[in-house]
Amino acid sequence: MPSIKLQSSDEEIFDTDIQIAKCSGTIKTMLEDCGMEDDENAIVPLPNVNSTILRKVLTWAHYHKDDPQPTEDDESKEKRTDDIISWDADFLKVDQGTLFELILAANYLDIKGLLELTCKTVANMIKGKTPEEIRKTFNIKKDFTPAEEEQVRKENEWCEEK
Amino acid sequence: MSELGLRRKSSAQLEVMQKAGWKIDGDEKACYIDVDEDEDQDTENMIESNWRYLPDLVLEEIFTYLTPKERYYAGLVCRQWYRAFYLPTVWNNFLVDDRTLTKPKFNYYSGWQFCLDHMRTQFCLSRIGRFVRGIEFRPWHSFNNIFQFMTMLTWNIDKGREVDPDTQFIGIGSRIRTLVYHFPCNMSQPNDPDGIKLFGTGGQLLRVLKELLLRLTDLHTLKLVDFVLERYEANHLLDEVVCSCCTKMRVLNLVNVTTMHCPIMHVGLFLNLQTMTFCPCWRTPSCATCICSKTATPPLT
Repeated sequence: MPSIKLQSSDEEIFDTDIQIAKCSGTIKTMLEDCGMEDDENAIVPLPNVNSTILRKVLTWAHYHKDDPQPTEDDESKEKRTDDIISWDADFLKVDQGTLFELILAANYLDIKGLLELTCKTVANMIKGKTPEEIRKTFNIKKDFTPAEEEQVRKENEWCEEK
Repeated sequence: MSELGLRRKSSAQLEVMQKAGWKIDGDEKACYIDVDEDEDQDTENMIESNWRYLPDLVLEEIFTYLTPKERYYAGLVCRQWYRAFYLPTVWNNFLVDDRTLTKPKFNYYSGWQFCLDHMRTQFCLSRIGRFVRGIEFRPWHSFNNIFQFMTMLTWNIDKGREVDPDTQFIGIGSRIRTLVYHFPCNMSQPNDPDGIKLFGTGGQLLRVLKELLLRLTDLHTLKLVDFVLERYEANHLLDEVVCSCCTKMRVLNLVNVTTMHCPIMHVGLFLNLQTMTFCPCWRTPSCATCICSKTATPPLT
């Protein structure tokens, strides 16, 4: 299997199987557009991902390397959050900071499966909570003025089941 | 994380209790100092996290996994998340079931029932009706709600197409590409031996569905499942669809639509059909000829 070298923001080099690296849309495009595929010594710089996160991402990609490619036609696909497999659930038993970094990395590297998984996890953390509880969970400060909050409530009250 | 938060809170509470109490003020008068537990103070001191600054694409993805009510609550968290509430792809798919946009009403014959809340439905359609790309009807037993919802959607689409429409109606339903309707044909009482085991739709419900289909001019996926129609209605099932989107239809999925063998010849008129699913009772020579005659289309699966 040919491999390539990925360089994290803290300049650690990861020797990676090319097939695994290509689960990232960003890396795939870089390799194909720059003709780096055949060059054994080429180094792909990833200035937005540090080594801890990149290691995790690659672990995930290795486990999921045989997953079927997601199809384009997901418009009508039902969005569920209760279908996370146990390996993934264990993989994401991390602190919030790491989860946040993983989301950003999946977004930057354009890894659809990992982005879906991390977003589902966040959605599960939001589900069933009041706005105040959500703020507590994620350490978010309320930046609405009381008047603005009232406005949002009026505007979107229709969402609330009675 | 939450455990830590709890512990912090309880120690803060202790502090509050120690501060509060009877004190002697400057004029040597006793006064009670009541220290309110101030939630805001707690939140001001905490380290601000980055969660509010998630990129739009990510917030969008997260919001799609939430129900409308959960989206509303998440939208109340902070300004950034409130903005995410209105990102178009969040509302790509809209599911209508028995409880969607309903309110409980008391009825002397059947007790509490959930009826479509017209105020809420109107609010919903004006706020997010223009974002919806796929709509799925999944009624369990409240046909009345589904009937009224379809009527309101149709009315809103018409309003939006008037000359010089009111801004709240502009674009409602204009992006709908996919319509899925599962009819619960086997929901008759299972313990009633004389009851009908299987029944289909038709009549008024079918009429409003067809009214709606007539207005969905960009439809490319239509799935109608378990309608179990009588022949005289089945024959005209797709009349409106052919009128509104005969060139755009790509995926047609008609399963268990009729009670008996009844070829629906309309399928031959969808010029760009790519995928078609139907049940065996349909596989008749005339229908097959009709499909095969469309030489310009790619092979059907």
